Amino acid sequence: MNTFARIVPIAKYNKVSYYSICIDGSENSLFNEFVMRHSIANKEKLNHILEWLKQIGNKYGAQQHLFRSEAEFADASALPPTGIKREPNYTEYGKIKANNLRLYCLRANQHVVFLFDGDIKTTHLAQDCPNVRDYFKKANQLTKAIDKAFISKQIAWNDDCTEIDCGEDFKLQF
Amino acid sequence: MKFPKNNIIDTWLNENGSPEIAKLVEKNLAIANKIQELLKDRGLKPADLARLLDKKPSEISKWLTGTHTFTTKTITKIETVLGEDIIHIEAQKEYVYLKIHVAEEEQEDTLFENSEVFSVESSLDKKVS
Repeated sequence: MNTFARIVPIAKYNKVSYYSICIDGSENSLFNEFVMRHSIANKEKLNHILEWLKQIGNKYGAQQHLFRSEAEFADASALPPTGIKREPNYTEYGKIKANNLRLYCLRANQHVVFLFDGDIKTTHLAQDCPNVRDYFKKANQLTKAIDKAFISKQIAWNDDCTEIDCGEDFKLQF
Repeated sequence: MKFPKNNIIDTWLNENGSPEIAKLVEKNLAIANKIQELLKDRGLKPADLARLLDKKPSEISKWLTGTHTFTTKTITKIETVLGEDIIHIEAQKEYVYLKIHVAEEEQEDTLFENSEVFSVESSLDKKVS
């Protein structure tokens, strides 16, 4: 059975426009749900990711090396980034710790990023982790659907490719 | 598609964000970005930096993502092989203390007015008129 989703704008910074997805008529986007769910239990890890999004958005743009590839069957990514076989780290109470909170996303270009949902990753492979497996799968499904919509011109770029546009009634199917 | 005026990222950070995390992310990203720039200026690839520093390429990849918290030792090594400073520390300021003496307001000198000479002249004027 097909699921329907609509694209919602989340935040616009100097160098990056962030979008998310509302599924099946939900008022909350996947990114809003991610923020609400981790605001208390994983506050500092979430803080790190949100600060990262803000700084990338304001200063650096969504450069490829700032994201980690989480592609399974589509070009999904995740934050925070890392080197090969290395966990990203952050500081908690002055100590460097691994940030195993994952936010799955799609980096469409250097100026447009779709933010999905995520959770604490407990295994090396996302497919093996009971926490993130579903978010990882969904991120790949959504990435595939968004890619198709770009190809079929249902989602269009603005003149300088810094924002996207799609009809108000447009629904992604995945 | 219109973006919300108050976005969830800024709102959350304003209400809950730690200034320490903000600074750490800012600095790590700035250092990583500077290293990227230096490599680009010199026509080098991350693999070249790995070779120059005798490190694994995966280590350099991690540095360039901006998630790595650098030690001054690592930064110094990178600065040495790339021949340019990454961090510029402001020169220590030398303070010169100047003491300003503000003269106390002098009391109005009324001695002259009360002097005999003044009194005499005054009385002389009166006589003239």
